[in-house]
Amino acid sequence: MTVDEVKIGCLGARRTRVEDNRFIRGMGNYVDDITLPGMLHMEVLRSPLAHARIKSIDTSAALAMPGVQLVLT
Amino acid sequence: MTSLFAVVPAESSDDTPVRRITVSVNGKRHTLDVEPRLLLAHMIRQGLELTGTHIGCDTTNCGACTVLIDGAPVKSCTMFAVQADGHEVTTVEGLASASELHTIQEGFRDEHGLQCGFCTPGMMLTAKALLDENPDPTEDEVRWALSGNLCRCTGYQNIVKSVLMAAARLRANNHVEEDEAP
Repeated sequence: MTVDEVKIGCLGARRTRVEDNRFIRGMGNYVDDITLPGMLHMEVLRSPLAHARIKSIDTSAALAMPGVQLVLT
Repeated sequence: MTSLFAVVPAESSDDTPVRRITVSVNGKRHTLDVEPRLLLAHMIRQGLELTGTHIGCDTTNCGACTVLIDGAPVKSCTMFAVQADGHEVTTVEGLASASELHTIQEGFRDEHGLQCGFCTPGMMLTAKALLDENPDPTEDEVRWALSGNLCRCTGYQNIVKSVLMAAARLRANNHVEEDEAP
């Protein structure tokens, strides 16, 4: 038996990937594809300034918008 | 409640403007009321719940959102849903028939053209557009055609092999059909 013929466990053996079938059909169910009941969506507001000191954050206008459940700072 | 990302019902409770559009997606006609600002990618993913089309960037660079509009590859994140009014949209879900995979999908399966699979729908649709126009591309032509589709996993080698393999198989199948024609 040559070195080429030695297979340790499944190393060196050709395997069929089990996940390809749904990926190539567009049924990958990635995180952004998941919809759960009562699911909320999050948006991140980033600072428009590269270098600045935050003096205060007023979240009242955001909280007053319809559908907003939570504002985290 | 209206949602930025969702198809808006006709009886909207506030003054949100909506446009009624008719789009054929994978051969099926849909009439939808959408906000003008709704991206085609969001219409496909949230409105039609076809999540095979992926959003991978905010910059129209990655091509994971690629669909075919009247057969031409388009980044659906850079198109408004209203722009698809009256057009034919093909997504990855429209590649396979009820009974079998498209030859391009077989190519990617057989030549290990995917790892995580996120870029794959876009790659396959762009490849389909290429092969519809050029059934016998060189490797350079494949790479050039796919240059708008980014992949973080594979290093592109097997993606190119997959497309070339699918091209060869499609040519062989077409020759068989031509030989069988009276």
